[in-house]
Amino acid sequence: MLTERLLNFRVKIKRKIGRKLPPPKNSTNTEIKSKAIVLPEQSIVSEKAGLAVSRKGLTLKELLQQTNHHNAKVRKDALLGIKDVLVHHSVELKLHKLAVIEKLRERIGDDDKLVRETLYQLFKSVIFPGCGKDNQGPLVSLMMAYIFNAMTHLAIDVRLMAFKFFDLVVQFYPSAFSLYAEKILQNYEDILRKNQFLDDKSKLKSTLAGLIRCLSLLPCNESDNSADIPAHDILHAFEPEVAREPIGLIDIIKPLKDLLPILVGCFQDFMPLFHSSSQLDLQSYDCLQFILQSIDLIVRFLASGVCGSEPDSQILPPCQKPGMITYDQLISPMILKKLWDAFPLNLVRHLSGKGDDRIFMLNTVITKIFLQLSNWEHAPSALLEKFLEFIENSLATKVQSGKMFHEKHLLPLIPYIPKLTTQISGDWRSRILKAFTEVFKNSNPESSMKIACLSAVEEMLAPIKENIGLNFSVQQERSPLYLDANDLTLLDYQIAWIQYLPSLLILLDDKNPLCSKAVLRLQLRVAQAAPVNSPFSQEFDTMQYSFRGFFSQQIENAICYGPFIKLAADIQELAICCLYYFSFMDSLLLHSLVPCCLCKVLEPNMVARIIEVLQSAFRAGHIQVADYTSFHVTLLSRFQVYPEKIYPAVEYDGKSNWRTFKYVTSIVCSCLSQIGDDYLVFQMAEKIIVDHICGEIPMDNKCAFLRLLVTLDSKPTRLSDQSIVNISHVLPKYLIDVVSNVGEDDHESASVISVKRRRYYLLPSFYLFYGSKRLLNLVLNVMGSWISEVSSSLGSPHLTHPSSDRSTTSSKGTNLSLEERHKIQRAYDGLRALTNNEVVGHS
Amino acid sequence: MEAEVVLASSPTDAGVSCWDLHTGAEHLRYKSCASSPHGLASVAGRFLASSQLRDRKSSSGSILYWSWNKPQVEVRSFPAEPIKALVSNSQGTYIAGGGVSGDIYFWEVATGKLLKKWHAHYRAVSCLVFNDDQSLLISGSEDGCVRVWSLFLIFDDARREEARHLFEYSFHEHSLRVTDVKTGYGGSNAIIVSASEDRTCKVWSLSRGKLLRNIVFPSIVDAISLDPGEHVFYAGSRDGKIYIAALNSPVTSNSNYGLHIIGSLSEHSKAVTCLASSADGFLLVSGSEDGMIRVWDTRTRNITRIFRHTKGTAQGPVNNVLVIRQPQNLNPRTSANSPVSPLRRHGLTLPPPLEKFANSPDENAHAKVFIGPQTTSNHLLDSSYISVQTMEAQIKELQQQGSSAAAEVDIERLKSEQLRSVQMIQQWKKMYENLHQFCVTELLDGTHTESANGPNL
Repeated sequence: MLTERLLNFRVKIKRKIGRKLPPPKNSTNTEIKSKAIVLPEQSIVSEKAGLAVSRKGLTLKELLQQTNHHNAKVRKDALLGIKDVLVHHSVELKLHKLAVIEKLRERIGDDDKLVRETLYQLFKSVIFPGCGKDNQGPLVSLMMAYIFNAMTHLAIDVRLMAFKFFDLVVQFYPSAFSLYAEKILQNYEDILRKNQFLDDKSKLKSTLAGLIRCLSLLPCNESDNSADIPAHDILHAFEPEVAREPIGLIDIIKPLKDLLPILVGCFQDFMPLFHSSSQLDLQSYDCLQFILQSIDLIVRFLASGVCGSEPDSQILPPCQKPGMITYDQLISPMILKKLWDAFPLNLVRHLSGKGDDRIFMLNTVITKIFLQLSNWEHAPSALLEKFLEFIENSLATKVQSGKMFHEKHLLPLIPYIPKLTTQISGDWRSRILKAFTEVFKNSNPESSMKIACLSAVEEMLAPIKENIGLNFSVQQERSPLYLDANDLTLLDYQIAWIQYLPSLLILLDDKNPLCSKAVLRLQLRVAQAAPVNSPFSQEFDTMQYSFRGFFSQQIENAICYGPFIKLAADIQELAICCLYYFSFMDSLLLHSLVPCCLCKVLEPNMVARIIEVLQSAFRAGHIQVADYTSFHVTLLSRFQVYPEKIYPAVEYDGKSNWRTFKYVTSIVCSCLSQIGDDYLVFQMAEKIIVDHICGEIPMDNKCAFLRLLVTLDSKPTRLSDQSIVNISHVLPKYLIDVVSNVGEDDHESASVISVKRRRYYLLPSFYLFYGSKRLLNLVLNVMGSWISEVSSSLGSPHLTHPSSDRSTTSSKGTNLSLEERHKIQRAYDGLRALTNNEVVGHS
Repeated sequence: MEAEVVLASSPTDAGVSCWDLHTGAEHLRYKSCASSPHGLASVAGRFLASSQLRDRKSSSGSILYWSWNKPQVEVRSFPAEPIKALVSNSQGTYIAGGGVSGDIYFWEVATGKLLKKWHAHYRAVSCLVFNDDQSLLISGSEDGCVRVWSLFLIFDDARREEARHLFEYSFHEHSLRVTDVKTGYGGSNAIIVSASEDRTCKVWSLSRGKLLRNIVFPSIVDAISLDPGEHVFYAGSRDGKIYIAALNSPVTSNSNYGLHIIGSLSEHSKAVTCLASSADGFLLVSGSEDGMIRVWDTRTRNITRIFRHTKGTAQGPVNNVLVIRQPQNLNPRTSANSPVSPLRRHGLTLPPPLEKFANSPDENAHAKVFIGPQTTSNHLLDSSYISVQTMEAQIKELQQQGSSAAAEVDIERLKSEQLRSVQMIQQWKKMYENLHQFCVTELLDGTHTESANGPNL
């Protein structure tokens, strides 16, 4: 490296013949050459040592001074230097935030384009992101003074740049717009009025982008109904003082109104394009799109009437608030007429599909503007028809093409369908409804279109918000309910929508929980609002047949679970709530619920919830007693308990579902005992329960039935003689099973638990004994016979070969080991002691 | 402490039982009452009213009145449909009832007139409550909706015409039947708490019309009772526990039951169906499915007393409990045999039965006899039995004679006032004298000491 440089510096030897000899090889070069000698420590500003400096060694202060330099290049370099300093020393920005901005803002109106660009980049990438959100007021006001200055600058470029600066400010501090809205809008009006953009569309585009950002900050009705529950603060505490009142909404109506015709004018300037060119270039398309969006936003604001509400109306109770006065008067029909005349936009010379899509998008925006006006039903019918036709066609093409593209752009139109259907009549109404229904049914179940359609359907089905209460008994006959059988055209579609819901649920599976939730919520709304004995309640009742598939289905002896068990708990909750509203619940629906309750995946809490809701439905008379009891009995008999032994540490983190079953059993017991008169309930349920006890079911389930029997029975037992005899056959075996199976864990630590658990199993049978002496005698007799049998056969060697004619129970008995016999003995003793106590207690 | 009584009724025909809350003494038992849930009301302490459960087949409902000193039903009314919830305003001028079809009926007690009836809900009205200034009626329904009705709006024909809906608010967040609604204090700025079969209780703000808090309980809550200070509310649930949910404290996360639930009262009973609290809020009365009425001390969280609603072995569930101030003419059972003065017995006439249908508005308003509402119970009904004509005549008379009589009264008043002022002046004068005297002596003493101290400086 060094040698290389030396080579470069080698002195060229000029040789002129006859003039001079070359210096001798051994002479010494005495010249000293040097470009510059940098001795930093000898600089005048040597105190810069601890300060932040730029790459060129300048401090922030010096750089700020240089921004005033008359040379544009120096100014630019200074800005770059500032950027350099601030990037590397972010503390500087925090400390001198206002000072920096105060100096830099003077450059907003700089004559040199590069300086402005650099400044813009500096603000965008460093200063604003670094300033944070606190204390924005002085910052914004510092900036705004110069931005306004620049906006009225003579040079058009400076003005455009000023709008870009303002856009930047709004981007970071959205509140800036509401503070200066009136003035800003006037400035936009001025700049758009001068028609200097046709040559440079990119500038128009960037200006409009800023305008749209501002306009989208305008308040509108729909945005403020966020249903958030402040769960964490104290209920009666004072509200935090937040200045959220947008200032001077009234003042901006006028500039907005003035802006409207100018935007329409801009739009018209593009019209010749449609006649002349065959292709809409991207630039002009974007401009058109932005212009229309701005018009849309202004119309939305003016039509929503937000601007008209007095600030003090919040104090009045809601009924006294001035009703929605339409502020359409603000928009004179003549302004937008030019827009309507241009609709639908069409290129004269037809061309490729891409251009078509763009035109379509523009048309949808115009349609949206039209629909936003609330007085459009007074529009000339030809115009109205033009729009309706477009809506119908576009909905229909959507169905055919099914492209994502159309779907995305149709989306904003969907919320207006309900309003449309209430205000137009006749042929068009059914056509629109038909097209809408098609879209609703055919759109992709996972798309946002589906959700938009669902909310539209909800609005058309049950606009609960406004209809009830108006039908006073005396004065009026008309019912403003939309669930109204008189409107036959709508009725057909409404029923079609309702019928479609369950299949949609099954179609959705668990792929789009949000949509499933919306469907279920809609279903619940329908259920709640359907008047009794109306077509809707009938429709809702028949819905249960298809609703079954949502829970589970039995296909050739195999159970096929529906989406229900896979969904989140809150959605399950909604589905369960729907069950309550079926005015008659079919037994098949209950059948489909049982596998869900038995499913291991379902939370025990949710099982309890299902039983709880069914109980409510039963109390309301929606389920027949037989179905209700058989549901519970099936639940108890089919529940599979996995003890720890068999599946250690696999199911439920090592816990068996024994606890769940215990929980379910207790709920079922309390439900069945609350059916009604004890005596009748017992009579009804006795046979089923006893049959189950005598049947071949696992011990846990047997225990559950015994508990159920005890719950329903009273102290002197009401069991029939036959039942007592039947039970006495199985009870001894059950007792032995309990003693031999439960609490066999070898751990000493578990002994307390196992004793408790054993008691849980034994208690119901002891209650039975307590209620019926006869049962006790019979059971003791059986057990006694076993013992005597066993002890008598102890001596005989062929005990281990049970004879074939013996009953199963006794053969079981003979197989017992010594230890088990001991247990029987113990149980027997226990019973003895119990009976003795009782006898003593009685005597 | 003012004597309070506990009233309890059940859906089985076991009558209304009545005890003294503090002593536990049993009072008269009112016969033949099978009340619907939220269907027992004391009409301003004057008499007892209850809507009755009837067979599903019968088309009309039934509301019964009892006076305090007789066990038999005195007045029977038969509204157009079965009434579920029944409530009276605190002055006892109106009774509101919620029907199975979702209609709300609004009667004037004194005349029995059906003033208004409107369709309030899609399904049966399950509970009704007035707010503390009696201007709002809050109804809960089986369709899961809670609605707030302003009586001003309901009786204002002109404004009702232009209003888009009759209710002030309609809260839809509950997904199942609303089981109970209670309001706090503060007129139209109060909070209301609603319980539903969807296992939640929700707290709403009446002033802002929005949900403030959602509390999920481990079981369905059938009854709620608000603490008078609104620090907590009690929720009687189907699992037999009474949960205590915090209203005015920051979230406690260490609770076993869930967010906002800070504890429970439990005695292993069956489902709690109804709650009421004494005026001071220290005693909480709960009725249960097992037919017991338990009185809890909310400070110690212990049971202080248990009443048994049903006689004998039959266990009828209790579905209504009320705690009211002891009515003056309520005789404890012990003194039931003591001779009752004929005046009293005569005095207790109950208002006429409630009408089935609303009259057309153009009906002559003077046709009915008006019985002035009594402010004190000592001042009995018979003394204020004046027909409208007589009253109007009296008013006219007063208006005419008003001038001279009023002047006389005025002079009397002025004279006495003057006398008082004169006395006052005397008093002031005397005070001034005293003060003057005091100041003078003080001043003299002061100069004295000052002159004495002077040379030292």
